Amino acid sequence: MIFILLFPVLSSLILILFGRYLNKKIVSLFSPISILIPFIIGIMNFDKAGDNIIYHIYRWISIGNINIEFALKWDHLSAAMVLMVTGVSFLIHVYSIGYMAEDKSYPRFFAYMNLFTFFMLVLVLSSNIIMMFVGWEGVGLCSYLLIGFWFEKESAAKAGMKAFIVNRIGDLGFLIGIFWILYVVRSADFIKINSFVSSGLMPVATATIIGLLLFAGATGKSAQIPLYVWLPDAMEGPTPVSALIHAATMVTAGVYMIVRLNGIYSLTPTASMVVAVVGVWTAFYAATIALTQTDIKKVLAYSTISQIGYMVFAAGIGAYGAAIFHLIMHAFFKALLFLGAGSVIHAMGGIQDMRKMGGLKKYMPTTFYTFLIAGLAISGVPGFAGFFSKDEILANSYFMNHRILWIIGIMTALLTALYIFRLIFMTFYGEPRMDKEVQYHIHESPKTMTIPLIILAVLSTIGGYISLPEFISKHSLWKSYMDKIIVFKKEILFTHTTEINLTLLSSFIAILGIFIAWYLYVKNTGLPDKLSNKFKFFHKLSYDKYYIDEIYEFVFINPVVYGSEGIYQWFDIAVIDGIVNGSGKFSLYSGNLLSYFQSGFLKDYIYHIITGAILILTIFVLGL
Amino acid sequence: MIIVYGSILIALFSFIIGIAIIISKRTLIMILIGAEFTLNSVNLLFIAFSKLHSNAIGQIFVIFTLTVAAIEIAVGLSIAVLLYRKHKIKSIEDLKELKR
Amino acid sequence: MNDTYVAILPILISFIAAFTIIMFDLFLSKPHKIIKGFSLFFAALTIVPAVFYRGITTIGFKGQIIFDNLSYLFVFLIALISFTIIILGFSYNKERKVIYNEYYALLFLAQAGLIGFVSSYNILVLFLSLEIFSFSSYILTGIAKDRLSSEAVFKYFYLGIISSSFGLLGLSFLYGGSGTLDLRIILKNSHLNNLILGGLLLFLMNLFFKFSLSPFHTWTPDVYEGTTTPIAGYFSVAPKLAIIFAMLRIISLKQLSGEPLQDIIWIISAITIIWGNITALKQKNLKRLMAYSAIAHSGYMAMGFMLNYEFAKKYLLFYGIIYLFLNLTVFTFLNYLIKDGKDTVNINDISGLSSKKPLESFVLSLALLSLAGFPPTIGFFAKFYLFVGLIKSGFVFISLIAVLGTLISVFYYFRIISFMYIKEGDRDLIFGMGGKLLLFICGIMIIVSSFYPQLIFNFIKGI
Repeated sequence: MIFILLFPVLSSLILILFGRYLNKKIVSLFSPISILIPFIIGIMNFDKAGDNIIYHIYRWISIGNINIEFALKWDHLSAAMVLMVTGVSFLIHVYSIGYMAEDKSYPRFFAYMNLFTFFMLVLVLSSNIIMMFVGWEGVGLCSYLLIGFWFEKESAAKAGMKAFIVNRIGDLGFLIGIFWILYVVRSADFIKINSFVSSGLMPVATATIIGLLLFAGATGKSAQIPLYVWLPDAMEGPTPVSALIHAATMVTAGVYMIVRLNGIYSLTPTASMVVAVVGVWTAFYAATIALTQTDIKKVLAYSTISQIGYMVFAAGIGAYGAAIFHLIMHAFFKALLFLGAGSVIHAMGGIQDMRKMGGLKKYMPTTFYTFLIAGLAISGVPGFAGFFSKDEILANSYFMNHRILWIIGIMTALLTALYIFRLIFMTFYGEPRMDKEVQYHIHESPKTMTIPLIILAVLSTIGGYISLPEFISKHSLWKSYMDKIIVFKKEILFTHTTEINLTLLSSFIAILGIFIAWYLYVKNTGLPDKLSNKFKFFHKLSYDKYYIDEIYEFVFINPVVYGSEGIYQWFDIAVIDGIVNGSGKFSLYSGNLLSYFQSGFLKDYIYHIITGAILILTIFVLGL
Repeated sequence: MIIVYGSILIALFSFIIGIAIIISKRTLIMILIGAEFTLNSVNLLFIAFSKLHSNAIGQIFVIFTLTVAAIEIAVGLSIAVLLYRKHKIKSIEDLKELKR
Repeated sequence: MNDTYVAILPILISFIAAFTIIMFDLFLSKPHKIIKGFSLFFAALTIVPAVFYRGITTIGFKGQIIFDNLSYLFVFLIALISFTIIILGFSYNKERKVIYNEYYALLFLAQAGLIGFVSSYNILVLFLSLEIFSFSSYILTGIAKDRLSSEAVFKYFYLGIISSSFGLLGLSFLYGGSGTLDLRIILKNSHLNNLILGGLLLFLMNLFFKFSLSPFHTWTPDVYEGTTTPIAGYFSVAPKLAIIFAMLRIISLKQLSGEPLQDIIWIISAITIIWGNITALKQKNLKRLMAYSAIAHSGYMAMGFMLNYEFAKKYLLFYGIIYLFLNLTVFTFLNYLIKDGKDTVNINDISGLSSKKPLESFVLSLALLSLAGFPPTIGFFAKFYLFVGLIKSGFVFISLIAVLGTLISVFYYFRIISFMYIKEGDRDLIFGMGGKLLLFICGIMIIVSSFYPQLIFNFIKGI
């Protein structure tokens, strides 16, 4: 099992150290294969996953009587995640061969991608929370490196830094949560934690605090309100990176974490409710922003935030199986959407603005049809993957009597269909709106790029059939599969007639959304402008992303400019402006605050020391 | 006994004077004199304590401190000479290249 | 074992080394090559008693000098440091034209001072050996004699003599309060009188100055920037390690918690952590940045002074040793950032280095990630253990500040890495044989210990 981890990391090391000596061909063979092998190992061991095997490698650390093993956990959850991660990662690696072909830092790119896959595997395979944190931080590191991959673009470097900062804030909570678990449970092992919880030793209040602290980390990594701001900016990275890290794998780590520690979350209704509300709120909110964005990748970014909101929502209401199911389906169709968008951008020579696209259907049929499938899947049209997974989440929320959340979920589903088909219609239908020059160059992407698209399209179509709604098949494959990892099992009564009605409703909603999009963007193309003029306020609100960036700037950044000294406010500008640009603003506003004392004049130093000494002696005398 | 407590007070007082000299003077030589002042006031303190405890250990300490003071002057003067001869620096105000 | 000559062997070797080197310099016509060889030999020789007598406690001069496992561990580490610094000095000094052979002699004198400092309970010996170290270090700072290093040495000297007069005042209080020079007797009472406590505090303030804790840290950035890189590396590890060991001795006699001292220590360390980390954010000169990083790390280690002896000898020492190796790695790298006799340690000077020197950049990134406490590197464990120790002892609030500081610190370490890996540049470096070897060894050590931290615990077990 250790080989699953070994291959990606070795390949990454080799590429980092010796990449520039290697031939491009070798790199493009070497790197995907080092991901394919773990995938194959995963498949071969898939049926063993039911036995909950722990592969002890060695004792890593021991603090007092807490032993932390370097051990891999192979159970149903990690097996599913490993297959998803390695599978999608492999396809994206193959895709990148075509996409990054012209890039001069080719080996570096693959080195980071392999390293990312390694850390992601550490995250999902870890048997204890410390190792999970290692993976958690590691994927963050790679994400930062890959967002800033095109460092010539200043915005890219800035976006990388922003991602990093925002995640730091979440990680602070996560780290404290881990310490708290260690303190309470006296063990970092997931099995121990879950058995500790299920034996009722953990007070509910403690579980609530831990749950909320860990969720703070999840809001950072999984881009939930309020820490979602980094993900849209992260689209500055190359598109395969967006597909792998910022859609399929890393950003879902928060959901994985919640499901992994489902014992704790099941114990505490408060924390779970917070999780569910934040999730559904994010889902709705991000969907409204996605409606008006014009950058193709930005739409997908907000769509990702929204879909992860669904998963977090599902995890919050206790539908852990549904959460992971949607996570995997989402990985398929969202990776497909991103790769399709990448294919479009590739063909358009780097243009991402949808207002300059249109009519691409006849130029790039493969991309179009695969993209369409992904669009149908994400909108939840019956028969496609997204339909089953989203339906399961909504049905769960309905039957668990979270009716208000359910309504918001349904509305979000309508918005989802609307924005994704707005994207499809604006991009592939209508008259071409690009320059003649660009139009002349449009071409279908090479085979290495289209084959992964086709495979993902197939998965997005048939993937959903592993978990059919209960009224169709009594024994859902997925449900019995996931039941093994859930600590507190609940039985929810699904009434079949209601369920059928619900299914019909959500199918209707999806088709309605597509119809509205068709009406607005194909049939009556003048209408959207009229509408947006009429509802100028709302349109502008959404287009400008509810001014959240500006609000953050106002709340966090401006006070600094006007001289506030609070650490966090100070931070945003210090880091975003000062560190990224390495230049003036920071030293102008805030850096001098402390280094002011380091004036270079000996007299100042000596006053410093004498004052310090006197203060210390005062504290001492007062404390006697 | 009065002598002992009196000399402790004098020693502390002259220690503060020594520190004050170090803080207030700007030329390198005066700073060294201030440093010498503090060391010797501590010497006095040691001797007073030695009298207080009526053992000779404190006086032994003084011998060593005197040696250290001598080294301090030697090193300090050589640095002062280096700064003046090579870089024409007399006052500590001129030392401002390294900062922030 | 009561054998004076065995006990002082490491100190004796260091003094003989210094003396021999000075004599060679005086009487040989072309001494440079010979002195280089001899200094390496003597540095290696210092390790011998540390390995040979480990496990045996030897007492010299009727109990004034004590060589137990703690001292021998220190001798081992300081000999490693000297060895590294000497190797680094070879190429650096040649490039920067520091041709004075006293350099090596002074390194040995400093080493002798530090060894004496950690292996005695007698405050006279403590004072003298600390001063021996101080004076050698003053001269070492200014050995390049150019404008910047002269300024650095004067600042260091000036602030140093003030702090050591405070320290001396503290020692006189210790004597005055007890009538003896032996710390074991002075600190024996469970209730110390105020004179002794005040004296201890003043003495600690002197140590804090050398340890560069805020507000006594102001010399650190200027000295690191002004002096030669190997010496800056030396300052960033050797005195700090010595003070950790000395503090361990003090803690073993009297735990520093519960007294008013505890409040002072945690306030100081909190200020230091925040100050060091935040100021480091804006630095562009790498030596200066490492100075602030060193300040911040002093803050972390100072938190460890509050632990009881059982915890301190495990967690604090662990942290100190890890920090030692990481800092030596970084300074080994910085040592070769020199061109035409001038330091080129601006952060721009390393941009794009990863493509030219992948292995070296990789090792540097490992060390920096470790310093930042990034999991799963060894630096993470160092911090992790220290924080666990603190939380177990009930210092939760300060641990939170430290965690926050760690999170801040990631930024500036990361910036260096991102300059190496993300930016473009055409600068190439020449790492000499010695540098390559050192970096390679350090890299292996970091990787191995990251995956097996127990190794270092086994190493320090017998303390």
